[in-house]
Amino acid sequence: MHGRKNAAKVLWFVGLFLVVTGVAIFTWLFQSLGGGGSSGPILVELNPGESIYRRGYSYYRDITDLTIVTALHPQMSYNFNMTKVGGTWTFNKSGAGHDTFSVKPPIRGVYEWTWLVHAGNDASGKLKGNVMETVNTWGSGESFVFIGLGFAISGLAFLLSSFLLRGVKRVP
Amino acid sequence: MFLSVFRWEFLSGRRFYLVFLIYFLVLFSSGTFTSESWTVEVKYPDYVSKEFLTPGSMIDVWWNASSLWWFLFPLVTAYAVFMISYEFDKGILRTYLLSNVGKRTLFSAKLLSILLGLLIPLVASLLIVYALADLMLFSSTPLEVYVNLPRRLLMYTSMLYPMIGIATLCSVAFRKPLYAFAVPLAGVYVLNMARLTGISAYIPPQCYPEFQGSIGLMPIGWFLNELSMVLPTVVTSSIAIVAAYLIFIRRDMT
Amino acid sequence: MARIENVISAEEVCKVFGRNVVLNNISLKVQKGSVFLIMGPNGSGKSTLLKIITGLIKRTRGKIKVFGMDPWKQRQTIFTQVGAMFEDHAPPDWASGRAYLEYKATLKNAEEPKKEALAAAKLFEVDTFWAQQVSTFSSGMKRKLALADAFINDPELVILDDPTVALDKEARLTLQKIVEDRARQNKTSIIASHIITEFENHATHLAVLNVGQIIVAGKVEDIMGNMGIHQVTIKSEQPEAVANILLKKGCPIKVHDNLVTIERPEDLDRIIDMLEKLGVKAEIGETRMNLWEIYTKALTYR
Repeated sequence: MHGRKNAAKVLWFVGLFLVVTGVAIFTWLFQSLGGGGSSGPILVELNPGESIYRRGYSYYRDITDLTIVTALHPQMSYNFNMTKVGGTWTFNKSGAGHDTFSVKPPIRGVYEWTWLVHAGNDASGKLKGNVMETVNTWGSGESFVFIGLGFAISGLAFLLSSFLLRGVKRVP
Repeated sequence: MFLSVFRWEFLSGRRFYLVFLIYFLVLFSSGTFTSESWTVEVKYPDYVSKEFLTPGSMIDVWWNASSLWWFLFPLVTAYAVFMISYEFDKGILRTYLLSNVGKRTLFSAKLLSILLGLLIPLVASLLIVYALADLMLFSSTPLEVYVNLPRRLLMYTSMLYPMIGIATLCSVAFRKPLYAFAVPLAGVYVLNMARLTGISAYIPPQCYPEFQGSIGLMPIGWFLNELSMVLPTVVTSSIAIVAAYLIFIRRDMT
Repeated sequence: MARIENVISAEEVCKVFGRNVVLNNISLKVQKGSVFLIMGPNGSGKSTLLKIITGLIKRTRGKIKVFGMDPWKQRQTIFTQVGAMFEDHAPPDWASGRAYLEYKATLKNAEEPKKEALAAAKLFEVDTFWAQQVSTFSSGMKRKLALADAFINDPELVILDDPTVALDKEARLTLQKIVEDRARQNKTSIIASHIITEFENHATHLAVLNVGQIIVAGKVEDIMGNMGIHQVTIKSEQPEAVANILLKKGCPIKVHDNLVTIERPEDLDRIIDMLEKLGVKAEIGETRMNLWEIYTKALTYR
């Protein structure tokens, strides 16, 4: 009898914790999670045969539209690579001179990107160019629905179990 | 003795549900993650630079610090009032003291209960929020998402500590729970309306800025500098807690 | 001669709240094994005195020792031998009676808190309802819980402030029996009460407080001897002669047949001598006051 009461108590508090967590996560769905903007053009100046290498991390939300415009000298080539940290998704694009391309990271999280710009050996004199990036990223909240509901429903199940355990009468 | 008293105080009664309420409100107000980009390595023809930042430092929680302060402060005050002032008024404190328990033990247990009652929801919220920020990264390298956690906790604790000091002092000083609750709120709100810097206006400056970049990328030097601005309120709050202790020890338990 | 051990010794204890002098020069000694009754009207300072004894309130002036220790400074230590219950005992209403008593047993450093709590609870049948939350208790049940709390660990000194209010008859009888048993075991009990009839037969010592001062204090038999004679009845063949003599002395009397009754005689021995000298043969019978009458008489003193 005592053990049953204790079990009911534990179930009650675990259930309450799960329900509260689930409901809170579910509410994130309704919060405005927009963001993004344009970054100013990155100026590139290279002598023939030189390269610029940049590596970084970016955090993107659930839906991301990344547009990259290169305005490079025709003898400047570039390579852009993006990889999901902790995942398998990658994107790779190579080109030269003026170019435009879009990237759509599939999921919310941290991405590692690398830029390599190389000035051709045959070029005469300093080569100039720039790269411009525009990013729009929103939180759609879809994942919050499932995770939130998952917590909340399992929590309700625990609460119900707690009620049932407490309600069991001792059989004389 | 201390552990028994602390266990009783922390798990006591309906005020334990305040802990759940705090947890819900903190979790509810998060869920916004920063969108940021940060270059960690560059190799130019004449220049090389590398920063030892990890992917996890990009996962930062964009909390609006001022809204957190405004809903946490009344809750902290209510918690402290139920812990101390209410029990004093009803004679429950006196009933406990008709035993071998020392006033110091009782006060310490109550103070620790208030502290943990706030810190546990905070830590639990952050643990969940950071994990959900990038489930994929969390499932591959779980610890990576928590690289920001110690600094966040420190900034948060520095915001909670002044609240705890004021709330504890008022709960001990005022026997009537109504006054113990109303006086600190009125005082802080009046200070804020008068735009007096101090407890009321204090929010750790870059705790959760709305417009700045992620604090996770803040170099350690800047971080310590911002934290040093916390010092006056930490000192004030500590003095308030000591004053509360002295009043508690010397007060007649009528 | 056995040395009388004083469990409590108070010397000129004063307590002032703001401008209110609640206790004024209280001096008393409580002997080990005594049943000490403290009586007084509302606001006389009984509860304040008991709170000073239990270390809850600091005295403004004077000295007080409980088991040789200052109760304000060493409250935790004295409570290894003390149990107390106040009129407005307030356990937390969210806890069950059982949880509360077990917690108090832990706070009182009981070796086996659950066992001690059960033993105390059984005294007043609290174990029959202690599984419920305190918020569901009636006032009588709360009173029983408070009494059980006071008797945890069977302390050397028990202090009870108005213990019988709201108690049913069985519980009152149980309390009387416990107090009696404790006295036989040389354990001390202090009871502050308005309703003294329950402990009248058990009280060994008495103190009457009024307006923060002790009016009368000491052993019950001594007090009875000094002020306790209520009525003297003189049976004589010459009732008129007796009445005349007494009226001349200013004694209030009643005459009925051959009985002359003197109400509350001031100096009985002198009256008897006087009658003997005048050759009046008389049978003298005394009716002693009960504690309540002593109390009401004492209150007329200021």
